Amino acid sequence: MIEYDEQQRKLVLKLVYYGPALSGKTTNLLCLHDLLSNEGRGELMVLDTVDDRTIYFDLLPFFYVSPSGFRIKLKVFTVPGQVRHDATRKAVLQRADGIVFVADSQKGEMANNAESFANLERNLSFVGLAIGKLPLVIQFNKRDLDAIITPEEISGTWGPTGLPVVLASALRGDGIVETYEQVVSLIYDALDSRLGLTSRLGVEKADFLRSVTRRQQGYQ
Amino acid sequence: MDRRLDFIVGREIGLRQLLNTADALMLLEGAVRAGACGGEIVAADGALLASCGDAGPWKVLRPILVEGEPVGALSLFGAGVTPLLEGVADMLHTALHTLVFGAMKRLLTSETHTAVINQTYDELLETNRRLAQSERQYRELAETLEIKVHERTKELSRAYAAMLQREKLASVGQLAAGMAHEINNPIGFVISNLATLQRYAAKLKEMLAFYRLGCESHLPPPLMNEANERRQELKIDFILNDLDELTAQSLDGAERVKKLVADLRGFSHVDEINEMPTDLNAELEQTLSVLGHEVREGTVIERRLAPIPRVTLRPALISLAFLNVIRNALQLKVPALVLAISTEAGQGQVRVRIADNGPGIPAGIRNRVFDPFFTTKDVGEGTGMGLNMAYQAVNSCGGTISLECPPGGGTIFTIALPEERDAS
Ligand SMILES: Nc1nc2c(ncn2[C@@H]2O[C@H](COP(=O)(O)OP(=O)(O)OP(=O)(O)O)[C@@H](O)[C@H]2O)c(=O)[nH]1
Ligand SMILES: [Mg+2]
Repeated sequence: MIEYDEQQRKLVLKLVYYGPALSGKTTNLLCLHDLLSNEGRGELMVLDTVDDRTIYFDLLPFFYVSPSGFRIKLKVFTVPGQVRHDATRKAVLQRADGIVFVADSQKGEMANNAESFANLERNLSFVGLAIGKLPLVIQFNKRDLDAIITPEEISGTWGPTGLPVVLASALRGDGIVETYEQVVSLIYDALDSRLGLTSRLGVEKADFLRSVTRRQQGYQ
Repeated sequence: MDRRLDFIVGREIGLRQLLNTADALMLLEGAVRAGACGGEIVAADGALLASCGDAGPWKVLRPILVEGEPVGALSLFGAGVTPLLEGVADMLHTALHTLVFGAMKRLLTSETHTAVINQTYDELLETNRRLAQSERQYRELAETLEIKVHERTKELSRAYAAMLQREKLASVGQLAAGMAHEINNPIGFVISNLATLQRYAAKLKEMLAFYRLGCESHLPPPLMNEANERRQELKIDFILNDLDELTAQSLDGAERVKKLVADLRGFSHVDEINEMPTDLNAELEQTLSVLGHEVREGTVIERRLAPIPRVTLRPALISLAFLNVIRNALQLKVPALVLAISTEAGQGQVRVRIADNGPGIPAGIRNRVFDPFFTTKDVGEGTGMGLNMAYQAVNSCGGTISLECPPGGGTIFTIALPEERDAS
């Protein structure tokens, strides 16, 4: 977590969208920005890009105040997927509370996915986080394309890990909010057991989830 | 000293860092020019960030949000809440947000940039440190490598030579044992036959004497003369005299052969390849006996063998060590060689000292005498292996061998063996 101030009754959380270059991390955030209500939420900040490829990161912040007056800011980041921006990835990954790994479903991308996942493991341990203990959701994006691996292949690979896997298309908006909801729910659970969100701080899970995953009017 | 700035990407940034007073004032002044009485920007904690003009009776309030969180408020004052005041407030609000958003973006970019640069710099420093360290290791390694290679080579050739020697020794030992066995049987009946011969000869002598004393006088003179002639011709008197001596000497010689063979058998220890409680004094005696023929005339061997406890070791090995040290001393070219061999026990050790009255070993080569192939003897005389073999053998027995050259001359080899060996 980025910050936890009991006196100020404020918690600042970090969720990071990780994955290989061009897998659709930025598109995920654009999609969330479009689909979710702008109430209790900041603007999407897309830092400088070169040819639409992220060099620093994108940031979509959410802000929640519980009825008890406890404030939670959830900052959703993307990392640059290109290999050469590893230092930036490490910097963004610091103090992450949860990860969405956006994999590219296209058949030719499996090696890149694997390499990026290995890179995630390495960088997490570099910033002192254990991949096994962090809320983590796997998203297989670009399901709208033709030359993609099958759900059976995906569950064959990822099923044994027990990690939640979501099939998605950021282009169509399928599975994007679901991915986000799943990881936020996991993040809440992890923090609840550590900080006592419900018992000590008066932050109800349902209320928190409803607030930060509220959909834009007219979409639903 | 460089001061490091550590940013956590995503850390909270306050309104004050995003909005500088000059920019805020400029906006407020614009609002006043557009018709507002005055305006102010107040942070969420109540701190006044900027104000201009006068407070009017009416005010329009707009929250300032950063990342969705209210962090302050913009207030504009007017004579009344007019559409103009509302419009100016909205414009100002949008301008403020654009300003703050832009500032935020700039700050995030530069902070991330700095974080990345720092991290890259850290990594560079780390890489550099590792390089320097491995360079140092390599340098040290290079410096010690020569010594290490030298030592290792020495150890290797020592081990190799010892192995060769041990093999040779084993076969020599086997040969000796085989020969001893082969000699043992014939020498046995040689001794017993010699003893029988001695008895037979005595009987023949007795019979001859009887003939001479009892029958000679009854012989007719011509026959008696003939008999006397034959006796002188055949040197019977001499033979009868010498016969005892001869058989006694032969018997003595055969007995010695028998003892030597027995010692040789014991010494080669072919039947005893395992460790066992060993009487070192007996081993020394046996060794001296085997070396008997190498003891030059005039050499004095002094034994001061104290009662010592048995030591558990491989007897073949320790007698090999004794053999080589003693033989080394016996080969000294000293007119009146005196070899003092002593044993003693104490402090958990049994010590065997073999001292000679030779010229001593020059200090410069003292630490090399146990090296394989090191010899000061003339070519053909020493193999240079003797003391090395002793060294190896004592080592294998768990003991140490050392030497000292007292100022008065001579060399003392000390073989120290632990009375009790740890099972290892
Ligand atoms: N067909 C299809 N294209 C997609 C989908 N999601 C993203 N894309 C496209 O893939 C390309 C890369 O998407 P980005 O979101 O910029 O990828 P990224 O993961 O942020 O890439 P980096 O910033 O370089 O790491 C864009 O052209 C997107 O339009 C999807 O679900 N289906
Ligand atoms: Mg991107």
